[in-house]
Amino acid sequence: MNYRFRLLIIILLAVISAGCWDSKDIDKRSFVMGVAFDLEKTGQDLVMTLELPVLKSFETGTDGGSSNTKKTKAVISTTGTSIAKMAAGFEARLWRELSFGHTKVIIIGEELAREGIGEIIDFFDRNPKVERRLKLVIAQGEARDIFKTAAVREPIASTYLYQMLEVVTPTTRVITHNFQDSLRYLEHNGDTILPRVRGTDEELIVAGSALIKDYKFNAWLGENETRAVAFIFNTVLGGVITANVDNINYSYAIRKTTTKIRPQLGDNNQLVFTIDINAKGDITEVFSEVPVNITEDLIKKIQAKLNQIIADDMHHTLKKFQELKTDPIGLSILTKRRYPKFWNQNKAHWKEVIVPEIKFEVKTNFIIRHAGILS
Amino acid sequence: MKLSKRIEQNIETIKHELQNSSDLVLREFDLNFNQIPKIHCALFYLEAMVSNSQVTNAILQPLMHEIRDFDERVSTTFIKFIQESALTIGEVGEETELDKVLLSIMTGNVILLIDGARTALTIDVKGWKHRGVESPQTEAVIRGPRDSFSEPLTINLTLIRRRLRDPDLVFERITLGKRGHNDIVLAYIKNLAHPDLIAEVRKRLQKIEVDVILDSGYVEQIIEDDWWSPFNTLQDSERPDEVVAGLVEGRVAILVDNSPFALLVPATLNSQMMSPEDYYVRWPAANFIRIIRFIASFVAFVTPSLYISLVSFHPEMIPTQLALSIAATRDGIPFPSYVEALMMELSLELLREAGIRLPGAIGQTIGIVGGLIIGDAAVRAGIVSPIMVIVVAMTAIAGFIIPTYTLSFGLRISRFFLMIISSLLGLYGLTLGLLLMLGHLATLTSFGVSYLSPWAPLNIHDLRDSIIRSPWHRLKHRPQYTSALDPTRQATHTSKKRKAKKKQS
Repeated sequence: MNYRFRLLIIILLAVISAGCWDSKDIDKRSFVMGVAFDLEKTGQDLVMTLELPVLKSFETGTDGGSSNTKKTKAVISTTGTSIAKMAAGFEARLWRELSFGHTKVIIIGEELAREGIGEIIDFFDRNPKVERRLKLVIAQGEARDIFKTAAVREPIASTYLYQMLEVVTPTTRVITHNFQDSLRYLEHNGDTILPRVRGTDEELIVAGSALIKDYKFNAWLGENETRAVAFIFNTVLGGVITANVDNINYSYAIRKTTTKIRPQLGDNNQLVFTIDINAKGDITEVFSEVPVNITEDLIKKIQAKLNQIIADDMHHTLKKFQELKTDPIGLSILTKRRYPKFWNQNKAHWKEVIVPEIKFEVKTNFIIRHAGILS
Repeated sequence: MKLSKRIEQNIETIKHELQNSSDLVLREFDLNFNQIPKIHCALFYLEAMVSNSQVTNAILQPLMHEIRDFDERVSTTFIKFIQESALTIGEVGEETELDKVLLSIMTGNVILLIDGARTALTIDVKGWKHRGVESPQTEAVIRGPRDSFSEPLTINLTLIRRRLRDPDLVFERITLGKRGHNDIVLAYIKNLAHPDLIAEVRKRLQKIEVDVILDSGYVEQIIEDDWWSPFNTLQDSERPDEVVAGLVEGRVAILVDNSPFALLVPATLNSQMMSPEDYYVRWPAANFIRIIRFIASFVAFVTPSLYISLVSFHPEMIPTQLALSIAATRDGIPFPSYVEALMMELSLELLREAGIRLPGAIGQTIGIVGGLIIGDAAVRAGIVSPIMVIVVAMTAIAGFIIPTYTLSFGLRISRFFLMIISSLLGLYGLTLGLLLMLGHLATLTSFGVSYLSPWAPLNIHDLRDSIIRSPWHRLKHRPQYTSALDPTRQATHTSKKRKAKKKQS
């Protein structure tokens, strides 16, 4: 037999005998759109809830029309102590392989988050097929209740929630970090900020955020605090700030912002962080009974007011973090990068000793590009 | 064996040698000249291979009626006199060997035997029925000449000569085929094509020993570098303009009698991805089409295997909405995706082949019946998913963009290889398969030229006529892969002028 032919047979045998092990057709998989975790009433076991799309409702064409009346999703729950075991249980019930490749959100209930979220994150971090763009969210109340929400246009709560967090409409009310970003902060020092979600029957409310300290839920942050954090994370892509000048409200729509944070190690090891916020935007509304003539002077006044609002927010939020002895905004990452020696000396007591002593210098520069035209 | 002096004996021998074939015509007549006694003559020819009017008007008429005087001052011998003064035909030769005479009859010449002469005259009055010059079937263009090669070699040579009046153009004739005695012409431009290349082609051609050469495909398969490969290393073309363009690049063409396809060597993957039209339209349009063509050939190559690997191994790589809708449409289909894909791709090949074989009018119908009706019915019957129909349609449409039929064959076959390896190993398999294909292509050579040139080995100069075609004024030099002796093809004075202007300013 020819050498080439023999080689071909060997390669073919190797391919045939080694191949196919993870071949599973798309219709033999169950796509999990969202996972929710809660603490069971007894406080011992986990409750894992999945939101699954009903495939028939996604079929287009042939039947047509009647899709509104069809059931579009299935929500199933199980209890257990390990996520892998619960997932296996689901697979047995569904006779389909669970696929987390299209999972959009992981929602953790408030009660469970207080106990710790590390165990839950591990399962998803370890699975290479999990999409890193998914959102890790903390639910106010029970996480599984979020899946009960069925909005008219977005019957699947997970995609609805994901779209809201993916900055479809620019807003400063949410943290848009994805799973990968959250993991980066968490794995550095166990602190981060995750979006907060609340559900009603017909809509989801995403506003504010949850402060995680040492993998545990610590406190809620309000909308203004969340906005400050969004500025620090440099994820602000839009949104409206209202500035009150001479008893008239001016709405300022943010178009573009950039935030630069720089640590500076002064004498006697005093760490100073300079937070430099540059924002460009337009005045989109003047809430006044009589038309206001926008003069250059007035613009300067509005800009000063905006600078003050954000700077105040910023100081307030940072102070809160310092009082809670937490570092969810990655100050340690920046310090480690800039002053590795200093970081190595102080990383053991970073949150307890160093963070409360940090000084912050906030520079805000809000620019009004134009104020619209009144005919 | 030599011819005899006695005409009766010669007639008998020829008749005997040609098995007294029914299409052999023998016309005996006498020459009645004034000065000399009657001379017996005979004409031999094959019935439908000569032009009957020429035989009558240019041979029989002058010999039997018009010429009465043999003047010894004009020609030394009688046979020379006939040849030089009597026959009003362009090409007349003398032949003394019996074998040559027989071959001459077979090629369509008229043989004139004269009593008492050991020499026969071969008179070229070939005139058989043949297909005329028509528009190309496989390499049609919109802008550009519409003539294509036909079967007779003479016509094909004319088509080349009409475009290239270069006195250096050489048509080297080689007769091959133990029984067929077919004419093959090696065409090249002397002082341009590299002598080593010419010598190599000539050497390989002379080694051919077959009964008959029915098409240039015979020659191609016998002299190609690698018979294992699914890819062809000789380029075939039915367009005379493409062949001439090849000749002036320093390539060598092989034309085979009775074949409307000429061969061009050396051939690379790049040279086969080009259509003559790329050079006739302006460069922005040409580039646009070329980029699309390269993308399309890749699409035709990998789409089915990509579908298999994404659907059965990596559905997380498909956008969510699409993944859900694919899953929904696949729900309830009894076959795994690779069976579905192989089945559909095979039926596509089936339709293509059926379309070629069926008579013209029905060929159109089979496309509609096969493509639309069976496709739709298969989806409704739940045998295949609608997305699979899209994949197959895309493969088919993209496949037809490849300008050379022969090259697209190679890609069509390798596509199935990729599909099989993807159905076993997923995207990893697809990557392996593509690497394997790339490795194979890189090892191929065509008459010493790498098949992947100018990409591997990289030739930056030739890159300006590959995926991108530079404007004509940037194509001042011939491509380098042919090692043409004269590298310049355009005068360089325009660029010199520009440089001078730059210097002044």
